[in-house]
Amino acid sequence: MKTTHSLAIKALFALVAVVCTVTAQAQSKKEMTESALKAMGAPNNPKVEVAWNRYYDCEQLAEIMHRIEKAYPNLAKVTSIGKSYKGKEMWLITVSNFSNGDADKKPGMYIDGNIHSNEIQGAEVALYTAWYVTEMYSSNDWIRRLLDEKTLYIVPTINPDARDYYIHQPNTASSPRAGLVPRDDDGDGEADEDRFDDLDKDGNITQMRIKDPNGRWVADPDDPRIMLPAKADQPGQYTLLGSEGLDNDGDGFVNEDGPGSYDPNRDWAWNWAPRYVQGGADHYPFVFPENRSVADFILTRTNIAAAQSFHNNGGMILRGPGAQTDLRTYSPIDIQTYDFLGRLGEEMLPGYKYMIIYKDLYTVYGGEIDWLYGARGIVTFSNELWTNFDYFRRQRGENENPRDRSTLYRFDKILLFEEGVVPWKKVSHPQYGEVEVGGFKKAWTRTAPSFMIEDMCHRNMAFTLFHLYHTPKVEVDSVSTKALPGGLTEVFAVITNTRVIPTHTLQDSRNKITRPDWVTLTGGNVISGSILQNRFLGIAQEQKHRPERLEIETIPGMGAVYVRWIVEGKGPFTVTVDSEKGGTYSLKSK
Amino acid sequence: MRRMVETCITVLFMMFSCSVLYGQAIPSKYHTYDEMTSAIKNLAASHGDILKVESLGKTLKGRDIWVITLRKGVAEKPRAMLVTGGVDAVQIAGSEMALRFAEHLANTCGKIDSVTKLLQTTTIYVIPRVSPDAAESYFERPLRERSTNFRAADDDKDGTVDEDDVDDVNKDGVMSMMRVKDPRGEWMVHPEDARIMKKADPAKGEKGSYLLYTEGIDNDKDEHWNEDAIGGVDFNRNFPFNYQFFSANAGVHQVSEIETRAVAEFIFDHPSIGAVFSFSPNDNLTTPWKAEPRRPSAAGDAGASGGFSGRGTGGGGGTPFMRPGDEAPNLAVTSVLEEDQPYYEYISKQFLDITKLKDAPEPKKGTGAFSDWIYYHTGRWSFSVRPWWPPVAARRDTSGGDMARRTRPPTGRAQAETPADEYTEQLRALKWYEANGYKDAAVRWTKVQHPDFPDREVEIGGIRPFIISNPPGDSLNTLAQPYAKFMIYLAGQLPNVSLGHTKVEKVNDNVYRLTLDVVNNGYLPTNSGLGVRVRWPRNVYLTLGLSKDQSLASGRARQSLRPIKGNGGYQTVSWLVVGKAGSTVTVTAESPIAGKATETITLREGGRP
Repeated sequence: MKTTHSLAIKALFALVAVVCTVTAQAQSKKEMTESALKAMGAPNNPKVEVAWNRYYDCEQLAEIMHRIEKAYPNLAKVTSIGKSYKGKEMWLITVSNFSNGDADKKPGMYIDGNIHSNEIQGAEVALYTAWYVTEMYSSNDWIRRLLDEKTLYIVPTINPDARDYYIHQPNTASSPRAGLVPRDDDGDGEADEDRFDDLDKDGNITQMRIKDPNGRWVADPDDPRIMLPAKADQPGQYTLLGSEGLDNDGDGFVNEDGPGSYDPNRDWAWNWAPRYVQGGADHYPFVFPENRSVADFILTRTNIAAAQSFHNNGGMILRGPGAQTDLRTYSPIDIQTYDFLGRLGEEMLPGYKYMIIYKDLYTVYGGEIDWLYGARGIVTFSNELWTNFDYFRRQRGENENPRDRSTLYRFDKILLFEEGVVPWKKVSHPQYGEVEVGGFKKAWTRTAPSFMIEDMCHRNMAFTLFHLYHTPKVEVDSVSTKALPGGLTEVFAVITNTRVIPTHTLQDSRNKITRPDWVTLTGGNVISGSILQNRFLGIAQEQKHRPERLEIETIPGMGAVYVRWIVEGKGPFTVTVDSEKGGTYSLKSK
Repeated sequence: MRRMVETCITVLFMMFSCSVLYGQAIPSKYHTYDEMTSAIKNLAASHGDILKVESLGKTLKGRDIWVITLRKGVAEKPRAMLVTGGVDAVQIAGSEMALRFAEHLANTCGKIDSVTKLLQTTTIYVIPRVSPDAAESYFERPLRERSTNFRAADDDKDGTVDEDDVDDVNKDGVMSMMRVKDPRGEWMVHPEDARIMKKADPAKGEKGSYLLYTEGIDNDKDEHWNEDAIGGVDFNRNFPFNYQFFSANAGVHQVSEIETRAVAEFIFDHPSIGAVFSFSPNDNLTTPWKAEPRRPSAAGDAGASGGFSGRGTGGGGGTPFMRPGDEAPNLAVTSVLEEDQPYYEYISKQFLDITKLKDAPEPKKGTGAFSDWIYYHTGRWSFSVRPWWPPVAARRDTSGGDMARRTRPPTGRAQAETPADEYTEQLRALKWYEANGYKDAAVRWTKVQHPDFPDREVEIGGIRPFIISNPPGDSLNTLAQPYAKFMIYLAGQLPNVSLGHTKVEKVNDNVYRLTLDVVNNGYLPTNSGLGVRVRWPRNVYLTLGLSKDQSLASGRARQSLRPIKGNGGYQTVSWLVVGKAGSTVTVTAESPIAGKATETITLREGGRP
């Protein structure tokens, strides 16, 4: 009851805060003026003012999306792909030049963030992308060509319930990971009944310690905010009692049944495993409405050839497979495409490493990006935003303990002026008596500080834009004709893909996930049609059924397919290539 | 054991009596969706005190997925069993058996003690037809076997949906098989029965002389016949255990369909369901599941299918993408756990004893099958059997179902003279129908003019749809009885928690040691081994309620217990309570599956209030 009451008050404060922020933004808009010298990068005087040095809740994200739509109706459209468990809209912003062809027929890229509730900054990166490309469309040729030819589908947060729960309720930097679908974690028949308790009411769940001459922890003499294990022969000062909280349900455990216990990123249908194999897996794949909405959306957009998911943290550009049992899915030819893009990312994202999940991170069954590639054949990465490298822009030394957090305290001390850590303070705990609470604030350690957010957004966006750029682009490179006896004409056409990603990854073509590319001849009665297997030797394979519409399994990245027809008539003939993931293109013979 | 058999025979006798005594409101015939709906609603109207009907959702064709709840008394009862029919829609007889089970309980509750007692302590849920759109194919004309719903699917992945369905070429109202005389064909006439086509085995000196297709026209002119039929997704291929991505009728992913999701949600919404009985081809009642040794899985074992590595996904074999050291540990449970196997064996034995059924065909190994999923992923006990199979050529005993064959010892699997193969069922079916005077079990092979094969000898014929899996409608009521009897038995085997051996020792005027046993009087343990792993079925939770002036000097006030074996298995728990003499504490043991037991205990030497 008490918890509910404090929740309500928090929610009220949150609402007031939102209103204030929105008003402040409206005012600041008038104050902004065009600077004398535009820095390279962001637009000088954007139509949509957004401060990229802070984090936004769902309502604010939606407000920015709608402002972008309003300012650029021909480039951006906001729709909902479904509702969250708590009934929040899942906003999608589709970005493309809508007056240049059907956006859903252009090669597309899907981008999302925030699948893990506390890993919020993916939403800002994703939204920055929509903002940047719409603002830059009129002044930057590269961006203009991109939006003319391609489509971005951006869902900044696919976990809106728990994003707001993370932001507006007391939490650690790591809680919650799940959405807000209630689950009984401790087997007592009640769900979510033993959550954290914010003992000092500061909105952060920090650590509890109790003075204890028999404890085995001591304060660091150089920085007493840091707790260190006592040395083997050193007397201790404290016992650590875990995160702020009470034993709310009286079972002798503290904070053992908070919101969720599942992992939304173990809920995807590809290589899904039950929870005795994969912790965090739930009843069955796509049990959560948020993920199901995303999957249903992607299943209807067969033009999506690329995808990106944003997490935090660690500075990684991840590809599948998530589990060793799925190695066979990732074929060498598709891995070449991944490698090209992954290495490009490493160049653009200092401190980030291109890694394979099962091998370089840990095993994941039922992860989002494995579904996107495994079930849909879409080239997909997942970036872990924010890395230890960013603190002082140096790699961790080989002998440094990766769990040593002294770098964070140091950074906090000399760059954040001790804003990021709650100093130890006494509070009264109804079950433990007098304890002290203190430690990292929730908006610190896994998320970038204000002055580094824009840098993170821009670099990660650039990586995704190049990924989008390299979605297939099909063209009819040439159509040539040769007169044959009897009023027949031989028509020879070269169909090219001028980008790195093939029109069908091998995973796609071997499982027939999307239909083949169609190369169609019009302007004459087709007698025969064939695809050349060796254009130098002229070896061809006839397509008996519907020869006027040749079915091409895939057009390789930076590659070509050669086709030949024998046609009644003299032309001119038109050859059209129609690829679900690579677009369409027509060329007429001379 | 002897007593068990006697009891069974007694119950059996009662069953036949009751069908006479209480009558059968439901006629012995197959029910269309509309007829089934009225039958269910009639039951609800006439037995409103113990039976209610609800919809789990509407299918693409707007049909309701009905669930019948049977329970005596108003309070929500823990301990429940779910019965499902029509898991394989072609086995519509299972749907009819499930419906008759509900009717039997409704009719006999209050009249037969065992049924009354069962419904006082246990809730029975019946979903008679899990995939009603698919099941309706039994009644549609032209007649065709269809196990899928109507979800549009581009089966041949050519960019066009459902463009090459089967066709009733000879306009006889039945979708049969179509054979084309061709020396290059791989099919031959079965030597034992000319109505059956058999694939020639060159290794056995056989040579084919026919091409064989389902009846139809190459509507999209791609030289494939009926390769992109209307619909859909098969309920029994859409569940996550051993799911096969990209395979025929499996859906775009696991639990993608209205029907499968509705049933899956129903099960997770009802934690009291401890056992599920389903009519399906994935029979584990005539042949119980066996624990198989775990094998290391090759990398990519699951990857080929995209599903989690499950039983039958092939093993070993290297792949071109593997390097040394790529072998992955196989963490999935792919055969019944050793600790659960004896329960499946025992229940199977009871099934054969009670029903007297025998000569069952080989159980089908499922991919994405419902009954496998129940055990492997939800952790519930899962029992499944076909609703019917063609008996070995004896004439049907019209007086008493399968009673006539009771004299032979139940052996489960068929003891055929020649080794059973894929044609055994067809051969038996045709013989049985013939022996029992049914003339149209097969459509006689008849020549037709076929537009796709001008100047060729094309014949249409073969086994009539549905007859292999479904008995004649007039025998349904008789055949349903042994199943009903077994299901009543099975529901009585659920775990049942109680408290016993309560002991209070006075340590001091204000300190008492309280010891008691949490006992399971049911047959099944309070959780299955798989349930313990997957952690969806709750273990028994034990609470000691103290008043404000009492406290614990030892033990926990709330705790989750380990599984407790059945038939009197117990777990002893002890607390040291600090409290005044004569004051009371309350102990509650409960789990949704095993029920609830509460006892108030007074703090004084010897205990009880």
